[in-house]
Amino acid sequence: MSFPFLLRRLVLVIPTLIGVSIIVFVLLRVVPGDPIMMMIPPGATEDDIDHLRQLYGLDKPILEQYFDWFSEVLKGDFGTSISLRQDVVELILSRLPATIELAVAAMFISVILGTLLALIGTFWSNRWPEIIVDGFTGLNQAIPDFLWGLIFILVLGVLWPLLPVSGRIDPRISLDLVSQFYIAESLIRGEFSVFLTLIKHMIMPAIALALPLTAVISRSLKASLRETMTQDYIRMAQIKGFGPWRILIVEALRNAMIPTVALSGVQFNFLLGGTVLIERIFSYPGIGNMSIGAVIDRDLPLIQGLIITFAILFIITNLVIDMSYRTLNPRVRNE
Amino acid sequence: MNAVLDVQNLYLGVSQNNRYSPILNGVNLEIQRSQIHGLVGESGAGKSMLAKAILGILPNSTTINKGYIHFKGSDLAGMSRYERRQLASRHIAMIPQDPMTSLNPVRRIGSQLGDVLRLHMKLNRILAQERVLELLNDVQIRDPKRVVHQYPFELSGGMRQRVLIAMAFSCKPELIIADEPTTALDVTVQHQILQLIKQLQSETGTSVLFISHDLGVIAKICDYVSILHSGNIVEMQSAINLFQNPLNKYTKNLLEITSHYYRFENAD
Repeated sequence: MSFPFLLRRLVLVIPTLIGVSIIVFVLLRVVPGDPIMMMIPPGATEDDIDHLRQLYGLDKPILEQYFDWFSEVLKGDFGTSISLRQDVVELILSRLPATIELAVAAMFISVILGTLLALIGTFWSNRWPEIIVDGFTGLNQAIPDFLWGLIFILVLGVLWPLLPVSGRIDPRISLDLVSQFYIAESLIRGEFSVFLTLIKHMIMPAIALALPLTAVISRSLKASLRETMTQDYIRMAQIKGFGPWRILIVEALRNAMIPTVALSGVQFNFLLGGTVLIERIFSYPGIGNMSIGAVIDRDLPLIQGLIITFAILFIITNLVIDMSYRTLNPRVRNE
Repeated sequence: MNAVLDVQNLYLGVSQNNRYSPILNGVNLEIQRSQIHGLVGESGAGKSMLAKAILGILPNSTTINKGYIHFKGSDLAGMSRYERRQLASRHIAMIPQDPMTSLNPVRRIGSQLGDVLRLHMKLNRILAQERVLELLNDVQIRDPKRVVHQYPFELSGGMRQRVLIAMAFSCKPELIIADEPTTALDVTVQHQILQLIKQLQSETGTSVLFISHDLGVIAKICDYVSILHSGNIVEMQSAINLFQNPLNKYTKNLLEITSHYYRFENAD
């Protein structure tokens, strides 16, 4: 990976984040809804309200509020949550690993499953396996992730209770893990019973999130595989005497993956957005779930911090996708 | 019988929407050991279909209805896919028409050449890479050590065709099918590539079926020529005889039309 490319991309991150912060800051103060009204006890006087408003600096002009906030952000301080009365950075960092584990698991499932489906559909094209793959893909494109979440809870949680329907871990288990990356840490420490419980909790939300993305990946990959399989170098590989699976995987897959990787980067951002509803449905303690709470409570500092966090996640995803795109395609690698 | 390839009375056609259209109507073709055999015909005469039938890569809609293709005594048409794969490249190789699209764009030259050697010659990775350098040297590629690490897009058309020629000769096959190997190249490079094929052929003693619609090219390289016209071989004789006194009316016409533009030069 060329270093100047990475540097150029990292420099571009700064104006992007500033832009995001301005838009969010202004929008939150322009739309109706008042954080102070959400926190006052019944029977508070006008004086109490004014006092609170002053305390949180909400009586100043928006521009002044922004610069006050931004100068603190530069020092790494995103303020204090109005509803939870805790430091925003600490709150987010305690919940972020849960969301990252969920999103990565979903991405992992969709890439593996989507690629397998595309390979099966291409290998047995115009025969029954392709029809099944197409049907499955169509179904998954039509049903959104949150609906899958509800279906899973109904079927596997209620009608046939195999899996836990809420949370990240069984509350009766006492955890002595140091990080918030429970799955990664329990695996590294070899605590498999804890790991298994974590997986049981994650499997339904992860699959619900993964299915729409699986459909996108398998559909796009199958289309480009089909096109790739008509290329001259595929015929040359047949003439060279290679078997059909080896031709599909070694010769065709890597070429076909190039457009799909570009597409799944965009789709992964949808997946991150999807965590908001899915975490709510499964009471999963991540930043998506926290976002809904923060919006309901009109918790301005927390919302701002969360949106900046999501923006950083989007930027990192896009950077990773761009880098893997360059690794796959030798033609753009040496630019 | 010294024939490497013996095609007898081959009927082949495409079935589409319950309609059958014949492509080859009783083709007879014999290629002797160490012979460069030209196959000439206009577009649509069935040259490529014959080549595909020999290589075993006919599309599913196409069927062989009658006749046989004997390669060293065994019938190719009756073989399973698996048996065909054992013959591919090891015994019957191909130099394709378009070098720009015939190499995998995301794989390095060295690994694309090396994988055939590892598949058929059972060489390990290190031996295969050594052999690849020799092969690239044989096709007169400068600085093979650099080229093995390059991707196809970094090479010119002529260089890529040299790589594909190296690939075709790599497993020392008995028969190479060259399907218009110079049409996609410019004239100066064409001549070099023809020289190279001819030189490697005489060094290895491989038979070559050289497909072309260009009589000038055929005259330069072939020992024997067959003329394919609407699914039939209308004439088959040695290159010298053919150009001096063609027997068939179609061949005569063909020679007359194109005579102003080629010069007979089979001497070298």
